[in-house]
Amino acid sequence: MAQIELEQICKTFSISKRPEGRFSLLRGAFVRTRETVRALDSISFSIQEGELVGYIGPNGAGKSTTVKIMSGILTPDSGRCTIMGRTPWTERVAHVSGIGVVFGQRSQLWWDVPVNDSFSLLKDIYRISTRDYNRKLSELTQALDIGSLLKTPVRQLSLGQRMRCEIVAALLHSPRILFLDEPTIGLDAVSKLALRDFLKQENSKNAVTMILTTHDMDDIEALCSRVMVIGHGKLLYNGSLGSLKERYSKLRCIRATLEQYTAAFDVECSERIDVDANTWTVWFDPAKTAAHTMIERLAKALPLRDVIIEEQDIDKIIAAMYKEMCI
Amino acid sequence: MSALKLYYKYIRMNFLTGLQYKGWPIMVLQVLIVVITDPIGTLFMFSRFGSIGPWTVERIVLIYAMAVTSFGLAETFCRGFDYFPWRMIRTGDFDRVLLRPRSLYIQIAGSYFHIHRLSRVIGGIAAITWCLWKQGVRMDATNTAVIVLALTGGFLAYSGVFIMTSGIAFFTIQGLDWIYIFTNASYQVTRCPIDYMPKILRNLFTFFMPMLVISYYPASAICGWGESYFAGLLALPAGFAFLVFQLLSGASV
Amino acid sequence: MNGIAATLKTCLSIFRIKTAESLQYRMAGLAGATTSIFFALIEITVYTVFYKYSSNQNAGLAAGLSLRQAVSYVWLGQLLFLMQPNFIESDILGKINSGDIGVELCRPLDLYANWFARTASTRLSPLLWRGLPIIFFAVIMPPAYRLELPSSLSGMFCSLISTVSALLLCTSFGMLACSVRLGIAWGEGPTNIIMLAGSVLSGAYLPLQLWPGFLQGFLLFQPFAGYLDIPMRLYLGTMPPSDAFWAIGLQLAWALLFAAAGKAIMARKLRNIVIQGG
Repeated sequence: MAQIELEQICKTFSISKRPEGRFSLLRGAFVRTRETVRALDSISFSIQEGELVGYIGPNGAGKSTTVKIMSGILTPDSGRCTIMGRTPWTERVAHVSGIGVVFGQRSQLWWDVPVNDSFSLLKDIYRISTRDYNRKLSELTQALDIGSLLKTPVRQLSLGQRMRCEIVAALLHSPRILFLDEPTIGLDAVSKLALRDFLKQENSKNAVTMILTTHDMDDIEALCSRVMVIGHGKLLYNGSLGSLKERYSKLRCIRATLEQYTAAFDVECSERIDVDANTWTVWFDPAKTAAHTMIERLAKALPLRDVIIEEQDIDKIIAAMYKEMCI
Repeated sequence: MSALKLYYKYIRMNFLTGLQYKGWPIMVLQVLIVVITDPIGTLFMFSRFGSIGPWTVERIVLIYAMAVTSFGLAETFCRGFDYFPWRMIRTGDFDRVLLRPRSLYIQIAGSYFHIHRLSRVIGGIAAITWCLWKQGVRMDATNTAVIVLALTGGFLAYSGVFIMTSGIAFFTIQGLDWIYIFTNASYQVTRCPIDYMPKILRNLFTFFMPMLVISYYPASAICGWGESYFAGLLALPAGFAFLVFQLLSGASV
Repeated sequence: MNGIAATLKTCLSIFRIKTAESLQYRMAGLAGATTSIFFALIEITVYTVFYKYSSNQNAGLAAGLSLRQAVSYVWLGQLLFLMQPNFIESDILGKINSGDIGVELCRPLDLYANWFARTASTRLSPLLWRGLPIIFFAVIMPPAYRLELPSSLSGMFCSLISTVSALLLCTSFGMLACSVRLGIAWGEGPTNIIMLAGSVLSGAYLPLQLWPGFLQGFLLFQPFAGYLDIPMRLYLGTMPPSDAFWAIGLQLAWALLFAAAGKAIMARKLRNIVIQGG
């Protein structure tokens, strides 16, 4: 049996709305229409132990609702969810002992006291034995290089430093599953790369299952073997990132830098040509024309200085996909 | 036992956090001024109008101070429950609490602590001491025990009110302000001499929320205003019963 | 002239938003009203006991306040109390501390006037959902607990004007406290203490006439009598309408003084922000 299994999970929220039109203000005081919103509409999937899954979708699609249900914070209206053999919301205490959660936008550390104090309180909260605690802490401290930060109050840490400490806090009790909610938000390039490396390592070394929700497609590309796409509360895609790309980005592009500006003219087999100063961006379908044929054609027709072949930008693919799926 | 240890750790953490904040001595002073100015109207009324039959200013202030001290104790050690609806649910910090494998009660109780809350307790105890001295009550072992038990009962009862607040907050945080009737507004009732208190208030604060049981009855017993020691000793069981009642209804949520 | 019109317009739209907000939270308003009514009933009971059963029963009348008047004072006091600044406007404070102030500085408005209007509207809106139920309740009570009609028509009129002045006074003092708060790096303690003192001296705890006799002169001239006690005296008729002119003048004088001080302090603070580049 898979480590995480969701079957036809549904969740609706009701929100109240003020009536519109004349005297809406006054009428709103007495009459209010309630509207139900389907946050999750029969979501089913399963995740095996040790998988690293990306969970994406536009804002408000239902990502965090799913994560909240899986972490036992929310009770769904209907459906079944089994994680490590337990139902999260009925066996909260037992369930949350085995999971870790990192919110990129919220901290679980105590703001005004040194990081170390927060860790030692977490040790008591999770009833970690002193031996396990010391071992895990030194392991994580080394891997994330936070040894010098332990005595610093959290409010004096930079965002990158704080996020590394958050990850340590979430992993201290050696959870089997780690939920990461936009862990790289606001981080600089170096911190992002370091964090990704660490997550990959932790996943392969300790077989910690990781579920990553993010808007940063580079995170997904660097880390996840599988992506799930959610929109309007429905699971729209569940599979590898490679086949997602194939499906939504058939075209490749050649970015050609020219010696001087040349107005656009039609090149055989090109799908579209954009000209920006002395750069041409030529789109073609690799299934119909090989890349080298396209370059030859361009070289004959244009004064080329430099040529780069690019895949379509992952963010654009996702945007195209959201658009096609009408979400 | 491990729960108590965890609670202690939480309180210690919040205490240290509070000391990080440079303005804490002023906060202590501020709460002290609140405590002193709150009964100022009553004091001026007594100085202008004189006593009401046997009800002197010392009597009224004693009952008032018993209730305030109890409230202060509960506020110091269980304020987390009272802050819970307004702070935790709105900010989403409650999610974090749910993600931790420990009792919700302990985590919420320990979520807020600040030294300046103790000002109310200190002010209250000073007032109790002054009133007892003014009335010439001898503080022998029995009387001291009655006072201590009454304050313990009061602490439990007001903790019960805070727990009730968070219990209701699970359903709705809209319009929860009426709960002030049982918290900050409740001890204002003691300004009215008990003989003249409307029946409905007297019953509400005796049989539902036992505020008078933890203030008036013990005070009356040790000062000899007519209530028996037995009634004075009811404070602890009454406070305990109210707390248990609230815990049970909270647990069913 | 254009500036004043724009400020007034902003003021109106802010009042609209705040009212809509308080309508949204009407349950909170009603619950708040319940607490106020509870408070008022306790106070009335306590006053009644003192006026009827104390050893010095006539002390109230001697001070110029009958029981009936005290009861009305309690009800209207609950209402006017809602205007008082009991905490710092977190809205304005947050904007300055977070640097969002830059956005405001870009708008073609006088900053202080704009904020003043905003604060005044904030103070006025709770009177609606919290205040109306209190008044409704107060007039349907049995006679011994009832809010009485004003002493005279002219008294009512003066009291209304005095209430508007009280709003200006409350707002200008709230703004002054806010400006002072800006200069204190470590917390709200000191400003909370001054605001608390203002509240106590306003008569909200006890009608100023019932305070000790030797304090009476000071009590009437200190700024906080204008929060609540002066409009109330005019309503109850314990101050004749002929005295309204100087009483309201006193309120406005204090309001102007607070506003000028608040504006000066805030301007200095803002200059520092601009120099530092936000």
